[in-house]
Amino acid sequence: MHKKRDHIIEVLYLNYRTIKDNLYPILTLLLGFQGANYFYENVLKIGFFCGAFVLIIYSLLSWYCKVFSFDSNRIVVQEGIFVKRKQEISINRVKSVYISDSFVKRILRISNFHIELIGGREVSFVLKNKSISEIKHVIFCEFHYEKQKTFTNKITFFQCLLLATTSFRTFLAAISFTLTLTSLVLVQFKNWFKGENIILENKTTIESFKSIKDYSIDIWISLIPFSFGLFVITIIITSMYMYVRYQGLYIKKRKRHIQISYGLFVKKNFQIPLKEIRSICIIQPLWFQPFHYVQIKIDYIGMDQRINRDFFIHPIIKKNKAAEFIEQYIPFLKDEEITEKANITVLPDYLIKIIWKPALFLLFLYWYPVILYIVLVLPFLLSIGYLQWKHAGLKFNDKYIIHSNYHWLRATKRITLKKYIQHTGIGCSPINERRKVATYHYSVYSEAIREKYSCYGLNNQYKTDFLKYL
Amino acid sequence: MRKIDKKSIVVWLLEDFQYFFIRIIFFGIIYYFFREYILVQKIIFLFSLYFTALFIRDLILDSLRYRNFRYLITEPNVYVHKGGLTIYHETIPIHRIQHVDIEQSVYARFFQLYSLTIYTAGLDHTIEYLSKEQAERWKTYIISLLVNMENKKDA
Repeated sequence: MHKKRDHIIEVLYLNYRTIKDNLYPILTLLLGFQGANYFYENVLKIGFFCGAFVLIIYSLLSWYCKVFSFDSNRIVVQEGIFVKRKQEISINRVKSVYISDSFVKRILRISNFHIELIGGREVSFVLKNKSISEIKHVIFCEFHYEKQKTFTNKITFFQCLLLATTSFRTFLAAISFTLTLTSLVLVQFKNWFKGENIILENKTTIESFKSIKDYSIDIWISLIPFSFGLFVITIIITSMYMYVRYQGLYIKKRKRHIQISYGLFVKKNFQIPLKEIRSICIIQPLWFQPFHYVQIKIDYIGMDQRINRDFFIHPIIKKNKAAEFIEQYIPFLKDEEITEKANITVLPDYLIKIIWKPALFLLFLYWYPVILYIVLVLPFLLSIGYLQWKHAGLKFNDKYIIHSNYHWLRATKRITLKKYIQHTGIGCSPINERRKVATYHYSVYSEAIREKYSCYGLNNQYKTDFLKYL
Repeated sequence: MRKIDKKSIVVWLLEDFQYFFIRIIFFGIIYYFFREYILVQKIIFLFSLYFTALFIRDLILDSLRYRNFRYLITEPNVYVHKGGLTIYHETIPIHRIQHVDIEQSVYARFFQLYSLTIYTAGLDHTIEYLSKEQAERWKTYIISLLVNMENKKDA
């Protein structure tokens, strides 16, 4: 077996990952030490150069110490600088393979080759495209790979705007970027601003916060269009990121797996074995609902949970086309209408469940003025409770269970294959017995060990069948 | 269907009292350090009231839990009925069981009681509390069913 190393370019990416994972928190701590008078400036400069030197040496050593080899039966990986690790991975433990790359790697004709193992672990290598091709054709020949020549799905700008409302992490990053940019603009062009100029005086942070209560109402009102402008810029930046992330969506169904790829600069290519698919989720976030769009997510055994969080088989599709899409690519699962929904008699239960804690808080602490702001939140919570009741539903047949629910601004419909259901159960209190309703719950095969779903308030006429389901 | 050991009520009561006691100690410490602030006093009072109500509820429900707890282990399935006010009926097919454990908590040790935990790939189900002989017998029985199933599959 010929031993290889990752491509040398990977040293740069190791640097980047180490900075992202470790240096940002350290820098934040160091900035705290900086102080108002730059007391520790020289110490920080020396520390910065030492840190950069250690980082470069660490990345080089990490790259050098990772050695791997392939043959028809196994993959051997040795890595680690101080603690050496050696893994021997049997080829038949490989669940799926996928390829990703970045803009720079595409120019250099290299890619990241990822192998997902049973149990959710993942191993990755950075190789030339030619080497990857050879490995795939010789060792992973059942994972047939074909480079797509044309884009089959284009994401429109409006769809990107909608997608921008779905990722809170991306939105936070964009708002941080927008605020940084805005503060730079304000500092550079401060002479353009007239009036009291309270914001632009040379005050410390604490003094600035203390002086907020002196601001007149005019300043607060003028901040509203300013905040709105910031929000719009943030959404546009997030939309651009979503465009770059999901552009070039390509989906192809093969005999034993589905191939999905997307991404403009960082291209990701997934091959999902059909026999490992456990369930699909049709998700409708809040802002998708008025425009009748949904997202389709897949759960399959062996997928890394970090990747699964942001991975969609289709990130945005019209609701009336979702059923057709699922039938085309995953024919053994079917999107059906759920006829059995939560009874109207349990609507008060849903409302009380969501509102009782803040209401109790309000009741006991009403004398404290700030607490009264909870009253403004109550109608919002009541509407969430209503939507949770409206979307609660369950249907089961001899092939799968379809379960719909509403979880904090997202309507979800999950279709799970029967063979992955681990147990079924019914819960019923004396009050619900009289109302002829029950809670249906079930657990599914999961690498997270515990994955249980329940639906409260359905008619109890199906309880015997549900208990005998498996 | 079979019942669990009656001394389970005492074990549950001791566990409930332990959780209640830890919470009261925790809030007591916070009260001691921040008692000058009226808002903190009020919030601690609120939480103490809440956890006391939970404790009283658990005291009342433990006897109901014992009365409702039933289990049956047969070749196709394990059936468990449990709960206080809300009764849960669960069906666990034998072929979904991954493994079985016997555990003994601190308080269960005083009464020679054990809990039998059945693990599937999606959730774990606990039958508590049983005598040592019963727990061992059921564990052996479930494992023998699993082994027979494997042998039938191989054959």
